[in-house]
Amino acid sequence: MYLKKYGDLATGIVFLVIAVVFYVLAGQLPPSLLGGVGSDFVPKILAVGTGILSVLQIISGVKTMKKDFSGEAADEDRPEYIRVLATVAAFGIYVTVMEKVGFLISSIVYLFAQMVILAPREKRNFLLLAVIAVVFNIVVYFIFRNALNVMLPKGILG
Amino acid sequence: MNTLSLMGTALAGLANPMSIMLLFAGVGVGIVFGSIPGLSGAMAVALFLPVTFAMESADAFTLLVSLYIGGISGGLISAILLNIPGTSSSISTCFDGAPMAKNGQAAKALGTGVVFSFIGGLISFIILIFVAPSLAKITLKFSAVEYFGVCIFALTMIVALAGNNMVKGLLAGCLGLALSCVGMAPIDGTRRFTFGITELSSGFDVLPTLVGIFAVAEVLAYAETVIKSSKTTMIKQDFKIKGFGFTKAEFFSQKWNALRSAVIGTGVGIFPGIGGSVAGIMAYIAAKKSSKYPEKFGTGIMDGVVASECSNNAVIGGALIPLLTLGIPGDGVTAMLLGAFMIHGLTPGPLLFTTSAPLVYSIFATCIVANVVMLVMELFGMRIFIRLLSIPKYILMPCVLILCTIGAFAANNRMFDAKSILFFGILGYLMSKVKLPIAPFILSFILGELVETNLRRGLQFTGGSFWAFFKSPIAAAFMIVAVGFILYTAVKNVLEGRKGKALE
Repeated sequence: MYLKKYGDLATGIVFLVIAVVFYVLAGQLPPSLLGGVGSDFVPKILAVGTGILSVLQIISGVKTMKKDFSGEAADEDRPEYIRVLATVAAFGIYVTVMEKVGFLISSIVYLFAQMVILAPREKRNFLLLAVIAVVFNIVVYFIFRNALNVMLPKGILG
Repeated sequence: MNTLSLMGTALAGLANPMSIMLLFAGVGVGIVFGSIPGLSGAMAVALFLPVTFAMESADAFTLLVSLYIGGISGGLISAILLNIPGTSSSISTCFDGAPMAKNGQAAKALGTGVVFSFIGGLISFIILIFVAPSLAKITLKFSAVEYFGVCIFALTMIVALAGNNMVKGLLAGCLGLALSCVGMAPIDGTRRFTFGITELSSGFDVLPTLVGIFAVAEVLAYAETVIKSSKTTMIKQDFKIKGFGFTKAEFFSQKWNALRSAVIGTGVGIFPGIGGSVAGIMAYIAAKKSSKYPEKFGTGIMDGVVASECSNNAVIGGALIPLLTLGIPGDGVTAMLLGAFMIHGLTPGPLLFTTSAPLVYSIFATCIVANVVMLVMELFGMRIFIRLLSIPKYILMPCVLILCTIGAFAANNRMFDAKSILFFGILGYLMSKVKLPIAPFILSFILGELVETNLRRGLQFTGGSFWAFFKSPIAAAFMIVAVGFILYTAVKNVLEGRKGKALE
């Protein structure tokens, strides 16, 4: 509900900030040494364009905000944000530790965790998911490392 | 050598075990990715792009083009059986395909979809093979000024893609352009917007960006609807597939519809960024308007499936035209193909037709053969693809995510790209939350660098005069059409807005 009410306005404000930051950063760039326009030219035009559009978006966002959303408060299928946040966290940890821990171990743990996060409660067959996580990653690791020469990080196993 | 003898040589070049294996693997994997909602052909191409680095260039493109063709076609399976488009290209296949399956004509709907996918693809590839070489002769004379004109024209397609909210569509486009500015600027290599991150000096790579936007964002979107989507109905499997599922007379009754839809698809494909979903819907509407029984559309008739499938497969041939003759990609998949060219040390564009003619014709030959492979695999292996649809998403999506991470990592062999897919995944997810369209973002991200490079190169060339850009008739024509197109859309939007208010 908050998203419907304030989403448009927030979008406009975020873009306005982006436009301002972009313009300021572009202004700090050195002039071109090779003649013609510099590297700041296109970003500045873009920043001005984005700025104008974001103001239009803010105006329409204010209009949306004033609408009445009280009737839609009872939404049956509420988005499951907890699963989204857990996915972001799990994936974030996964790509951060992969280089140190190695592809194989980090991927097995991550894949298992990710399947648990996404599975509906009644379908969480931990044994099956664990087997999938181990087998899938071993197969993938050897195909990519040996057959396709992709140097996936070995980590603590190497 | 003329086109036909070059084609003959290229076709013969595909007759070896390696190429045949790549054709079948590519089309098969493509169909699987296309058929499963949430996975797309673009993801399949992204996944396999790093794998092709070590291959011969001809083999690499055999695999990638096969994936592309399979990916577009596979969408029809879930569109017909689940009433969920497997890829966005097959949205309009649902309109009549799903009702046909409901009326007990699932086999006929699938057969029609497969056969007319093949025909649509075939027509567009014939157009590609005969149009592209002669077009390349014209574009060979293009300088930065003309390229700038074409790119600007391509960017205005954002307006067309913007959907019903123009401001949001344009904002999404601006975001794409802004991100394309990150890294070393074209021409003089000034570093900008890198915030001191060394890995950003070469900018965001196309592959991790697209993987993030398509795959990671898709998983996040799925995560919030797990319970809702676990309630959806099971797949229909209780039907027999025999032959094509339709009669000879039924086939020939569709000949004009098929031809029209294929031409629409090819035409839409040539324009950057519009894509298969719009082509399908346009062809569907055109078929309905020129039909003797328009009232039957949507109730489950062949015509609807024919129009949609013929045109969305025809988009492929069309989309390859600007890629090969100008080096301008029109969507995510062609942008990745552009990346593949660069990795193999080739620059797509008119010169390719003189410097690497055998490769160009090998790509053409792959299109034709992969299309046949697609027909054969979908007619005889339909059961297997249907079976795959019932793999639970909570197992499938995480596995795909692992593969995507490998793909992003392998693109440049660095962890930074694997990390950046999370950033783009969150970005894509947030964009869909506030209803900012993804297509304009991608198009402008892809075209941003081309526009700036050609603008600055052009200005050096003309001694800093913007006016000189309009002295080139070709550049001027493209820019005038671009401006006209924006004005037309703006006026149309305002008029429709008024009409909407009058009705309230």
